[in-house]
Amino acid sequence: MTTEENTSNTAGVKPVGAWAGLCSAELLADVVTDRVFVIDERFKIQCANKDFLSAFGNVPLESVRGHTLGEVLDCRHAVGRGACGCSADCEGCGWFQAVGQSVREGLGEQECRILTRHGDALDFAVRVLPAQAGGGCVCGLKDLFEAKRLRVLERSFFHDVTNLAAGVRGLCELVEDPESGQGEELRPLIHDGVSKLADEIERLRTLRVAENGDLRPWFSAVEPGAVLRAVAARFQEDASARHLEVVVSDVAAPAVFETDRELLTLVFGELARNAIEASTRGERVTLMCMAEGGQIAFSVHNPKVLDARTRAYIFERSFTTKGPGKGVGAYRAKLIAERYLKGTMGFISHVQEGTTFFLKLPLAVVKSST
Amino acid sequence: MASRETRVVLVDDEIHIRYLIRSIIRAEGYVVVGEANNGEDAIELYRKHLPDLILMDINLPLKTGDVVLSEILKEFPAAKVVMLTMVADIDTVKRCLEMGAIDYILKNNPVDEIRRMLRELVASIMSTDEEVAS
Amino acid sequence: MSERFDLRQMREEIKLDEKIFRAKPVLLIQKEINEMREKLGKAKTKGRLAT
Repeated sequence: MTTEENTSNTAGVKPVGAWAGLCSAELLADVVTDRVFVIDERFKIQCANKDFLSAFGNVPLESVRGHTLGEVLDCRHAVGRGACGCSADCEGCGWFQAVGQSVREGLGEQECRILTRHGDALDFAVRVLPAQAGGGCVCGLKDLFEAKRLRVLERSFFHDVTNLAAGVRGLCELVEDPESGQGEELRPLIHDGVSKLADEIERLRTLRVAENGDLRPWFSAVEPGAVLRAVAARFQEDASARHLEVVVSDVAAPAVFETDRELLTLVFGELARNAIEASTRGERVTLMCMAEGGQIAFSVHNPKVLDARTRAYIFERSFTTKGPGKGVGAYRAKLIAERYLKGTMGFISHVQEGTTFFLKLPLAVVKSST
Repeated sequence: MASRETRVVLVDDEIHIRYLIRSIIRAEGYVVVGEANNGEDAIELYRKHLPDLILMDINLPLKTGDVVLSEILKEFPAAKVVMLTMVADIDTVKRCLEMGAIDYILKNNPVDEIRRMLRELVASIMSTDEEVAS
Repeated sequence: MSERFDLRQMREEIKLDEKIFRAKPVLLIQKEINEMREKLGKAKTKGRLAT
């Protein structure tokens, strides 16, 4: 369609103007699913997109306008007026460096970790473009927490899975080799190995699907005792390697209840893992289940007491990926429990009594089919 | 003169791997004098048995294999430690070999390969020991 | 210092965390490991293993 044809069809409205409206920066920024904002030459935020504002609880633009990113994120170095760039620590800040880089090179791209005054660390990838006029910058901020955590988790997952696969493959080679003198007796071991492999892969798949919010829980009749035993069996080798005892206590709950078995096992397994990794040689980890007041509580006890910092952060988005840890993380487990199982997670930790992590779910008893 | 049996300690936290390697070792006529599934027990077993060879994973509970390697060699500089692991990153491999591991074998090698490598290792060790003895 | 966190400890953990996260491991195959071993002078020949 040419300009002349358009003019004749839409009297008084120029196509350039119509496109200009659709191409406005504001419209584009609000569609972007990452945080976008504009700062002036003093690092003060002048405008921001919907995603940016919703990250702070859907606050109005006025509440962030005129503040620096550091102030808005409660960076511990953003003290006093002037904020970003005023502390000696700012020189090492990825965000600050990205702005400088954008001025020098036309584009600034850095990763940035902001330590808040409350002891959180927020991980971002920042991208900065100098504004065409006015001396400010257009900035993009991408939350890296999930990506980082998932990367470490998957590294650990691939290690475990390839380790197991190597073992199973080797056992199959022994079966194939007539000189090895081994055959039928390897069958249960191979089966066990392959089952473990399938379980691990399924677990990661469930986790990824849950992360995306795509998971559709499948509620069915589940035996609480069977869940406790399955989790105990899953960690038996690891516990034995650590010289720990894992005990399944008597179940004081209905024989069956309704929930998503896979998610329950994943989430409760995370609590068991934490307890096992926190315990020391000779200690006992106890798995329990009890129904009370319309709820069913799955809990794990170990004799250790949580230190103050763990108590404060265990269910929060941890600022570290906790080294090459294998677990999905208590934070993620809690999210899954709340979002999909409609449950709550918590812990009690006392010097004399040790620590009990619990997962409480609504108790929906399965009606008899007869 | 009949050569004595080669005595081996095996350390891995994965039951399938331990079974596999144990089978390979026994098929070669070597003796598994001890097995451990964590790093702390590995050191204890070494002290107790002083084996000809210790085959050790890296990712172990309680204490990782690279730390165990360092501690064993500190106490027993002549120890023959072979890393048997899935960890294949260049930094870890270099570090373990530089620390004094006599070999570094990846678990995803075919069984025949692992067998061959062990045979060569044991042949070297035993002939060296005979030389030292004479 | 707040009971909730120790800044120094946090910084140490973050440093370690960054090391782990940013690690881009170069993975070797057995042949390359053998070559490295040879290069580092740990050949499987007589005498080399003697202490």
